[in-house]
Amino acid sequence: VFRADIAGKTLSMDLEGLKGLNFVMRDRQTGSLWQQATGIAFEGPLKGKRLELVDFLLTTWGEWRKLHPDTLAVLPDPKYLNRYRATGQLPTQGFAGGQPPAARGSKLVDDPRLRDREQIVGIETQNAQKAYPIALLRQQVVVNDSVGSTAVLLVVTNGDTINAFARTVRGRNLSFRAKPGTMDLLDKETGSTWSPYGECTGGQLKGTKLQRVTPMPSFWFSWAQFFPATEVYSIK
Amino acid sequence: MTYRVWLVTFWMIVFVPAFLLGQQSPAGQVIPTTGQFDPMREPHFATAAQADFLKDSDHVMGVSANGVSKAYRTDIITYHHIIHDQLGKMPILATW
Repeated sequence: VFRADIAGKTLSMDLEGLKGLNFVMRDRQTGSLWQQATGIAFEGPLKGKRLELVDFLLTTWGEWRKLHPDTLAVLPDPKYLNRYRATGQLPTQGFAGGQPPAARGSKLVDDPRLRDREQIVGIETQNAQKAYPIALLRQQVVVNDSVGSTAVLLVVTNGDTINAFARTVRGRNLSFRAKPGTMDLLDKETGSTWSPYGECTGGQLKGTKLQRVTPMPSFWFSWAQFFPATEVYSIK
Repeated sequence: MTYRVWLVTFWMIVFVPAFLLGQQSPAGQVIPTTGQFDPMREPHFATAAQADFLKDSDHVMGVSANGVSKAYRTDIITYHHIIHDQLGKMPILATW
């Protein structure tokens, strides 16, 4: 999810095509081309500009409406009902039409560190990126890690909701673990209790909120195209 | 028509399309997908109570800012690829 405005101008996007197997948008206002994976314009008057990311949550409808009872839900467009594929799985970028990637364009780079279709979430910090295989996150549930110089925490709740945070509080890095029998977390340093949404609900740090970072869902091959310097999370 | 003309014609029929096919997907160029997917420009919404097309286990992408929360079922975004929307006065693009 991106802000659609840049320097006070609201952009309206058309789909232009694919580049590196990822969608390219063309804005009607300037004709610039934007890569969906990064939000960066690579051609046209706005070349080099980047759309600002709007934080979002990957979760289930049940969890989302519990968190936000006043939420609205976008209605399916009746014209396209047969084009949607309601799936019970974590989202992946669709290859509509079922064509294999080879028939729809070329990769820019080939990075064999993970399988092409491995579903990951990517975390981008100021100076680095890292890919986290979703299957591994589901197994680990709570991950204390670093992306470049940023100490990060990833939390998977019920296998379906993925949250990520910077885990530095008042200059100190906290290490988290699951609180047995609950969805909550405990930090090792103060023993405080935290919700999976990064809010300290009990203990010395009560009231503190961890700063969110947005995990970007992607197939590995797509992330690797546009962030070739990315690190990959693995269990040591 | 002579045998030679037939031979040239035959090879043109075989090779020209093969050559064009080989050229259609160079890395780094934008390959058009005109008309295959339609961005959603005027999304319509249901309240949580009305949203009976959603099951609790459906995956959604949720956004919440400026006092507004919205959920997009992931298969709806992955088909349209772009949903033009607003959070309060902030225009957004929900993309996948």
